[in-house]
Amino acid sequence: MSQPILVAEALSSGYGKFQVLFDVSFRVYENEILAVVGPNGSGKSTLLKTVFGLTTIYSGSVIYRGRDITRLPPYVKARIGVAYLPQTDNVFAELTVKENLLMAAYTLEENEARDRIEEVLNLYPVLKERLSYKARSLSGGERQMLALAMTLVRRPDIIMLDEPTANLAPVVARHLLKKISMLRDEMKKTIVLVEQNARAALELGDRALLMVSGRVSYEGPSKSLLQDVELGKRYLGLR
Amino acid sequence: MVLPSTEYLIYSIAYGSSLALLCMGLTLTYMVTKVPNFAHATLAITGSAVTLLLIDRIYHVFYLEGGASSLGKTPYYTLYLIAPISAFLIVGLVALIQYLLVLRPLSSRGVGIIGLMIATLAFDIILVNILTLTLYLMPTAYFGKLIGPSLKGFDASVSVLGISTSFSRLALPVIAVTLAIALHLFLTRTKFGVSLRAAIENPDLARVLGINVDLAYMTSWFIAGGLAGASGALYIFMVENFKPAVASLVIVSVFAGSILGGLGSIYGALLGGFLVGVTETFVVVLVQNILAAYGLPITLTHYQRLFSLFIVIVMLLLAPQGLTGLISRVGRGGR
Repeated sequence: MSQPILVAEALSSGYGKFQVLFDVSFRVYENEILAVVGPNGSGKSTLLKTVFGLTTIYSGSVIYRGRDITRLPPYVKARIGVAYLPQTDNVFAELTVKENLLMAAYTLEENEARDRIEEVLNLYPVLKERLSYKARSLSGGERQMLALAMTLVRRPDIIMLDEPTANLAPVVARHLLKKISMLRDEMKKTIVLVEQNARAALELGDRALLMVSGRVSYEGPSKSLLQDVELGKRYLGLR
Repeated sequence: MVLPSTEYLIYSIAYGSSLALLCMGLTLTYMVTKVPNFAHATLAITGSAVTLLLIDRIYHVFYLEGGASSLGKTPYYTLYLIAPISAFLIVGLVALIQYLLVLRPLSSRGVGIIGLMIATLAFDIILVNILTLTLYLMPTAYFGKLIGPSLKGFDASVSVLGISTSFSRLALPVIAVTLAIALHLFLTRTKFGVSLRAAIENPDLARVLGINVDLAYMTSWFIAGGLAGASGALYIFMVENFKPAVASLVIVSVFAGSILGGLGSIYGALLGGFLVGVTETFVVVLVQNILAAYGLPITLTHYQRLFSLFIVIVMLLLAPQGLTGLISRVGRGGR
């Protein structure tokens, strides 16, 4: 197994005084998909927010490529290669697709920004046809694709996705998950995927993290969790 | 004759343009800070004060110190350009100060919308008093003797297509349209302008993408103040009796125009402000003339702002999203 790209050690965090995560530790390895699953309210989304610096961290640390990034502000984390894609409000609805992509490339030089936007548009040709459309007029799937494209413009090493298939039609969700697996297989990205559809996430993932009541209940190969009848039945609604 | 004169229509358009600029600015700051700025009309009055001070200095230098014979009245014509530009910059800074010293610190301490609204009221009172004192202290002996409390005497007369009017009445719509187009181009064609819209819509996402949200907010306040200043800089030429306290009346119309526009779109505000301005002047006189023709001679012009309040009530009851919401609903086929 390759070296871990991100290591979380004994993380405890929450919102103000309301603690959600308790002593959470896990590792993310280069070029893998880590599927984060668990029942509602188990702290899956809070886990991603904590790594990205959007919660109150009480104790613990986040190490990214050997550097302690626990207390760095989100925009600095974004600049050094960590990307976070929230579940909602992940695009600017009143801006056009082109303007959204331009904003994603905000900190880049003009030429570099143009090249990278061209690059992601080739990955998502449907967006190329909608450049002048406002993001709010896109379908749910197209919006998530735009959000993903905005993330890729910044060429992150690790992408944390918070329920990207929520509220999407099954066929669109499957298409999006396929795109996510392409990010790992073709673009060699590392993915942390929080997903409500546990079966789909575990089938896609290399390894899995099962969260229960703000604590890690399982960390290991996805397939093993998928085959664990007891855990699957109790926490993931799998039969 | 029931229809008001063409000259009055021109005045009405100028007044509407002036309100349109004010509503655009108020809406912009509302979108950024989510607080209605009660000092916004006073920012326009600050622009008027800038024009007064400019005229005072120009009159002093060119007319009382011997420059008049060679320059004639030329310096006054340049005012139509100098005054709005100076007022834009100076009042933009005043608005920025309001944001930096009052709203940003209070906001960061978690003060709610009511507290922030009262803070803008307090700033308004302070600003009105500073302006009153400044105008009282400035060397305006000439004003009292030569032009009275109004700048109407300094406005040039022009004749267009046989209609005689004053230059400021023609300049205001031109400046309003120019500034609106400039703002539109800035917000849609420049990277910084687009980032400003992004920061207003979703500050968290903007921060994640590396956009300096604070700078965007400061720029918005500067622009809003600038628009108010430019509006007031020319509007003063149309006022009979200039007093800073008049801002407390104007703010009613500004809120009416902004609410009519929907408070979420500066283009809606532009339209809303213009419509309220035309209603308060042209429509009021039209209704007054119609009533008089039917033997009901009521002076409605004294109650012009009641019309604005009526518009606000109707809009809030029937279409709280304002004109912008209505237009987009029609665009979606009423869905």
